Amino acid sequence: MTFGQRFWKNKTAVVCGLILLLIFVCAALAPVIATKDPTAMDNASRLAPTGSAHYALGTDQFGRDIWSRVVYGAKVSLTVGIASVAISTVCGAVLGLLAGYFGRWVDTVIMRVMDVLFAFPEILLALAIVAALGPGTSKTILAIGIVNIPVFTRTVRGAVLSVKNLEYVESARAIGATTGRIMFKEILPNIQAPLLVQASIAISGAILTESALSFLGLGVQPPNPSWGGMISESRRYMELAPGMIVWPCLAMTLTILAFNLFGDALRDLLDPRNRSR
Amino acid sequence: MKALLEVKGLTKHFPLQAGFGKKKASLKAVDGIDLTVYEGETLSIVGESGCGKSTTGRCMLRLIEPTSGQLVFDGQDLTGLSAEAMRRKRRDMQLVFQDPFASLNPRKTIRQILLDPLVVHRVGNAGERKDRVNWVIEKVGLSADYLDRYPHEFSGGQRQRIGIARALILQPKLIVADEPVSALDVSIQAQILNLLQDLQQEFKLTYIFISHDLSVVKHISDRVAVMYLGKIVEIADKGTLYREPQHPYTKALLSAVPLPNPKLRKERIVLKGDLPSPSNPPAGCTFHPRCAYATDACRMAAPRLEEKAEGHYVSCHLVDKR
Repeated sequence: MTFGQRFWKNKTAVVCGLILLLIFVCAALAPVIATKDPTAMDNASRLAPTGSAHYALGTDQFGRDIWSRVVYGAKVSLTVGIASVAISTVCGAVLGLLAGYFGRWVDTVIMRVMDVLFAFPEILLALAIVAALGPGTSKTILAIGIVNIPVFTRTVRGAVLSVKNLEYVESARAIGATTGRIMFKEILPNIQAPLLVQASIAISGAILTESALSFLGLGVQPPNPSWGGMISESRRYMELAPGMIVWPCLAMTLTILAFNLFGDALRDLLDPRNRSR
Repeated sequence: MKALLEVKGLTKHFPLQAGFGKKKASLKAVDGIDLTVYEGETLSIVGESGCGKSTTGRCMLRLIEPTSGQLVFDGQDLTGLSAEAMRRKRRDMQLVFQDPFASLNPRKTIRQILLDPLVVHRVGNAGERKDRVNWVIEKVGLSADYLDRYPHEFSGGQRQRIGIARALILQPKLIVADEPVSALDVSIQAQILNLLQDLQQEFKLTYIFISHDLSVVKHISDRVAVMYLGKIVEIADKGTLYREPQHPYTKALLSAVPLPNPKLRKERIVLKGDLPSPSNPPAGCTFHPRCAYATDACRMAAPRLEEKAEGHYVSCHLVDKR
């Protein structure tokens, strides 16, 4: 069976893939899909309930369309989630491979630096980095990316340690493969399972961290919409307009769930040992 | 006969974690080995588990860096080579592994596994490499139809053929086979051994064959070296060694080989005790605590590997020169 055929047989992968695709399309085509300008205020219909005539999901305290803000917020959340995890995956994989493969002082130096980063609470470290760099989407991405590097480094290092003494790694040395080739062609493909799972969890975590930073006022700056920022603002109006908190939360939950399950399914699909003939 | 690989005074000591205030200890896995491997022959290294035979094999290829000693391969000193020069030299010296389930990368197809050596040493262009892979897979008795499958889809014997194909594809001069059949069923063992012999004749290969199975060794070797606790205790051509073993350890080993004929009973020499720890070997001859003939001389001084008869080297005080 080809990869495509096996993909279509795996229901989790298909459903989560479709959900993610939908969210991606929403984010990419935000100007088309959003019915209104996400920052346009309508003073006449503030805190409109879900299902009102002009606003399907209601409005917030300034009369901004919640549907449009959720759609535009998807763009921010996905960009931050994926870009920051890309940074931490690449850096973490390289550092973890170096530490695990070479061992000795290379391992000691890398892992002690990671321990220092680990010692800070995630949010505090992200806050510190954003405070140093200044707020904004790209800086938020960088901050969250750096915060997650130690987790990836540890995961990869552990996986490398379990693989590097196997005979097929030695056999690659025996045929005369270079160190780089051994690390990236022999070891890396065999540790992609924990790496993928870690990445899918980290994307969810990054989306949450972005929300938390926006909630604290350091992520995406108002009036630009982001899910975390929307949830933050909705606190004071929760009883008056529950839709204000429900819809961004729902969007976030769905995205995170889809990423987690998709990562799991992908890990199973990419393992040739699960291939049946 | 021309020497292909000369091993002089090879040692490998693995450092052990020393406790506070203790002297730093080391595990003497290989403790001074001298060997010459001649072109086109099969030299077997036998010994019980833990005697250092696998370490010796890997040290000969510098897959494990020897602590000391000299390796001269095809007239060139390997011990002084830089990592990069050594990497290039690996083209001529390959290794076949014991466990055919662990030695093939589960994420690669057989085609990728066989292409790797060619890619690494930049042999040929894409078309030539493809032909070479098809050629080698048929040489080891598998069909080219299997090339796009993954290792887990094969049996142990088939995987070992793939391992041999990978070692063969660069057409090396020397192949070190580290217990290549001990993980296989007896019926498959014979097939693999015959394959190795056929390939040796066709490509003029030189084998260093590491094994603990004396019947397998008898089938495939030209010469046999017996190892005990990191040292070679006896080395001779196969016929001599099996007919007239000189070292007490070799005698004991050979007496333990089961005979297919139950009427042909022979005296079995049972060794006392266990293999001593290689981190703290006995003084004098390392075999003396288990030897039935040990004298005071054996407890005092370690014997040297000496030529007692032509081509027959024994490391024992009690064996006289003839």
